[in-house]
Amino acid sequence: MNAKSSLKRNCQMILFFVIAAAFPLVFTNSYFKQLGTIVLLYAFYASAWNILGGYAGQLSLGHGAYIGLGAYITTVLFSEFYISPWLGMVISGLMVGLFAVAIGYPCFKLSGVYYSLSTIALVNVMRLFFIAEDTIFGFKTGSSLGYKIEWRGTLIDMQFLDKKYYFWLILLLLAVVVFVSHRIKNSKTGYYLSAISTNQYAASSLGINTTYYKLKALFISAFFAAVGGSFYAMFIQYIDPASVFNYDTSVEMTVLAMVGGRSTVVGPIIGSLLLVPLKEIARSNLGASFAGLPLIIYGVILMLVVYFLPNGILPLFKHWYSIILRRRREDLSV
Amino acid sequence: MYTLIQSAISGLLMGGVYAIIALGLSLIFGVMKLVNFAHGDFLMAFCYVAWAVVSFWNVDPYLSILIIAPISFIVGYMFQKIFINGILRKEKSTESPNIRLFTVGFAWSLGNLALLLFGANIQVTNTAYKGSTFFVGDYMISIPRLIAFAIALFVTAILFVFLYKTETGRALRAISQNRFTARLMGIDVERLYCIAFGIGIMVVGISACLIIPFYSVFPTMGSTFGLRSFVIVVLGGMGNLPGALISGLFIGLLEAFVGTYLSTTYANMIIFIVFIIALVVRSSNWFQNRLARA
Repeated sequence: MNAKSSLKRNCQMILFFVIAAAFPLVFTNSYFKQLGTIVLLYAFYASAWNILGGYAGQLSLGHGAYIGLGAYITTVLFSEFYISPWLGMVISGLMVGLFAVAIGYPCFKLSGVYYSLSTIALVNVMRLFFIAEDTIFGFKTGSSLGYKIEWRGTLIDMQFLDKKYYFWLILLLLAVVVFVSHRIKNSKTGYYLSAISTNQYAASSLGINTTYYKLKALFISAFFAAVGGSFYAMFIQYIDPASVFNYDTSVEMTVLAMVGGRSTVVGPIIGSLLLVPLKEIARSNLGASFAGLPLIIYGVILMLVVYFLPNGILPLFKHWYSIILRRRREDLSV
Repeated sequence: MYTLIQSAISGLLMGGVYAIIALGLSLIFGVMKLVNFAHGDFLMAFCYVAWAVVSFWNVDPYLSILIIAPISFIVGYMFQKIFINGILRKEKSTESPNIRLFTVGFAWSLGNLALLLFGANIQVTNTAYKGSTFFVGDYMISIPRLIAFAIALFVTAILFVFLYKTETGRALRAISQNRFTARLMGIDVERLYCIAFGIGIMVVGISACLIIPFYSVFPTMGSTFGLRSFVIVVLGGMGNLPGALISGLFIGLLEAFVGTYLSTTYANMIIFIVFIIALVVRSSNWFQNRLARA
């Protein structure tokens, strides 16, 4: 039963990715390609966040720190050392992962809300630091003016004229994070993380090394956040502290994962597919005359979901699906 | 030396205002073990209300406290009664991430609602004593900041009298020690949660009236003050009111010194670094029952 349902779910996921891959071929308008890429990028961010915030239950509101650092490291590697972003992404992911672990080790001594507060402080310190300093570790980062990435325009440089290649690239990255996320959830680590998330003290009294597993989740989560940041840098071709070390983006990842369904593999993707197009369309159509409206919608949806559906929308969908199935079975039996 | 003393004066005066904003947050945390992420945005909202009252009805900002304080108490009371108590009934503990996320969502909506209604421009409140100063020796003291500081201390004193000399205050302190035992003693915990939240937001409403004569109002000011309050509350000990007062003054001074001698960007950064250090140095067990012991 279990193997059969997981096979079915795998088929559903593959079907989703195949249909998504056809998107830029159907909607050739560059606005849609851009929109689709952004939706998938947020799905990627939210899935990365979910490994720490969902599975391990550590509510981070500062993942922007890892996105930004990843974006800057990849950019510096690309511009100063001529290292291809394909490799730079992985290097920056590993570096940011280690950075996150170094910062996370003392911060994980804090529980619950204190951890959330420390992550908010982290993203703010990083942003202010990159705004204040023109040169960091001898590399010119351009303080608040930002960093324009040089155009080299080959496949090795991850620079494409047609936006659809970026779409496929982020789709591929999303598939990787979904695969990793799925593997973690159904592994020993996943069960340990779930125990930590439910009750850290009980988990620790059963002999789980809680700090080790939380750091492991943080490393993976920060790694993917940095990869997402690197992708963002190459996609937009310009980074500045205010847009990559962004507190709002950090909260947004949380919102998307929460709305879709925290601690589930597909929840963050569902949340992003539902909300990001809504926000982006509202922004491009109403943004000029009604600034702020897109984020009000987000805030209100977050409040409604927390109030009425604390486990997100996914369980609700599952509930409806099971009702439909039951009806159909009843029809057949009659 | 002159610069040092001058920046110390302005730092202390600002610190007093930071301190009472943080007192509200600390009280709410002490009683409910709930961190209100919307604290700064409540302040922003009441700054707009106070600005509207002062600008359109020509009310003196300090007299407008008499209007804003009851309104803000009711807003806080109802917020707790309708929303937070509703979530609390479904959840087992107040420390659940869902309540935190609810206040985050509320803060977001409020901040962007202000952006939608008033735009990103700053709003300046015009009063007779705006920008007026007097001199003590060579040192310049801003009159609105001094008044804000004095009223802030006065409000703090009233809050302490309330917590230590009245039956309701005693009940609040009992809940902060142990809410289960408090319930067994016949205290209506849910109603007192509402009162605690109401008082916390009322303090914010009063601070809004105090800062508008010298601080311009803009939609993102919530995060500036909100994050400062978190820093102050953590530094002083969650739920520890005298601690919040002292660390509020400390943060005001620190900001003024770093701002004067380095740059304002560094001043913001130093505050967050102090925050992380304070968080890490004080293990979370240390915070428990501070309100009661203080």
